[in-house]
Amino acid sequence: MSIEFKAALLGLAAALALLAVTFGLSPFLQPAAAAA
Amino acid sequence: MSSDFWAKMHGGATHFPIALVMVSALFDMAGLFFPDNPGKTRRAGLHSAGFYTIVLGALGACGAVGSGLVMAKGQLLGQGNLARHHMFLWPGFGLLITLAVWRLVVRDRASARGFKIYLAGSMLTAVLISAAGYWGGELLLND
Repeated sequence: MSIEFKAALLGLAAALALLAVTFGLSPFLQPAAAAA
Repeated sequence: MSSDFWAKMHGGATHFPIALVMVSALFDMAGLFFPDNPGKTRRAGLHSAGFYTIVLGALGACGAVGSGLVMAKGQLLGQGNLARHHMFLWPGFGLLITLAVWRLVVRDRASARGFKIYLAGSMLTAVLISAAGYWGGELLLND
């Protein structure tokens, strides 16, 4: 497996992880959840 | 902290990814198409500028996304101009992080074909981030 392919997989994993954290945290920022 | 504070933070942070991703694509394109100088430093310098600007753009995007999410009170899509902003933002942000990590790992070991694919991705990211910025501006000025 080339370094470019490994880097692409790592980049995709990092992007998906960051998006998952962002999407996972968003309900806690909504006013109803914050009030609760 | 007040939503006004987060709006100001988002307004400031959001300029970094918009400008730096476009500049990174331009530097990399110049490094690919401009002839090298006898000392072989011109292309390397342009690619180095492209490298640092995409990494700084990705870091700035994390700040912009964080402050924007707090400002939008956790809305991931929303409606109207906010939805249009987010429809360009999420794929652009994902692609930007992917490209920055790819560049950090590969450094100067990219093949000619691999670098051209990367450059196409960075140009697409510049378009997506710019479109997200456009709809973000519409949201602030016209809503």
